[in-house]
Amino acid sequence: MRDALTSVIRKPEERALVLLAVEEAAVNILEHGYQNEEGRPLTIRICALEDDRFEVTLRDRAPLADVTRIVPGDLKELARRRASRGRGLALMRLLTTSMVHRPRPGGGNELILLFDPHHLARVIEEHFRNAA
Amino acid sequence: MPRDLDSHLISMCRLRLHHGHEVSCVRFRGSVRKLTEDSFRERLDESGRRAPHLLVDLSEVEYLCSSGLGILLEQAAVQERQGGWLRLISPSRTVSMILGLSGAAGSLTWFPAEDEALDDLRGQAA
Repeated sequence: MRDALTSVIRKPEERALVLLAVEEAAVNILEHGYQNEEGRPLTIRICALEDDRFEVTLRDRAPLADVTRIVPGDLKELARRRASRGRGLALMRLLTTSMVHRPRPGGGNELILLFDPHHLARVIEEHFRNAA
Repeated sequence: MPRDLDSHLISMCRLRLHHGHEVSCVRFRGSVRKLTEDSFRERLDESGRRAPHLLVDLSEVEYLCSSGLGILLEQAAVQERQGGWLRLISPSRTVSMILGLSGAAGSLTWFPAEDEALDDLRGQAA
């Protein structure tokens, strides 16, 4: 995963944000889909698209769960409450340009996260502008 | 493997006496990820037990997942219940970006250097 990301996105900060979103998606599957049961299948595929965009596809055999239909937690509200959890989905939405869920034949989920380096660059630029 | 996406986590702990206050200091090097979050939690907990004030040096941490962020917030609450605090030292640009995007920038305090983080302890010696 780390090596593959290097091939589709060059800037370390943008790569870290992609890793953050993908790791959140994977952790959701392991913790909520599989209830932390060991040895369950999870595949992650990275595919380069046109215009430097790329998509990351996560496939599991967990019970059907469309995370794209779940309302994400409000990051500002979570911060106000100093909540220790609940940011994953909001971060995934912030960092991707789209998320698509499909049920898999035979059971399970396919989640496609679409990334655009230009979008990531804007997120980073906006963050540092606000932080200045 | 690029350093920014490495998956190891090393920590070094020490206890510092500053104007009569004991301050526990822990420095991490590597990445806080799903694979290393248990180690991160254990070392923070261990360091936090040594003194109510806890300094966490993240200058050599190149990545922090949102679970790691949650662990920091939990530990900050533990230190506050002990009458102390948790302060971050010099988070890397990537980590400070993740803290900011996660909305945690207002919930955790960080300083560019250890001595600056301890400035307000001067003259408050018990």
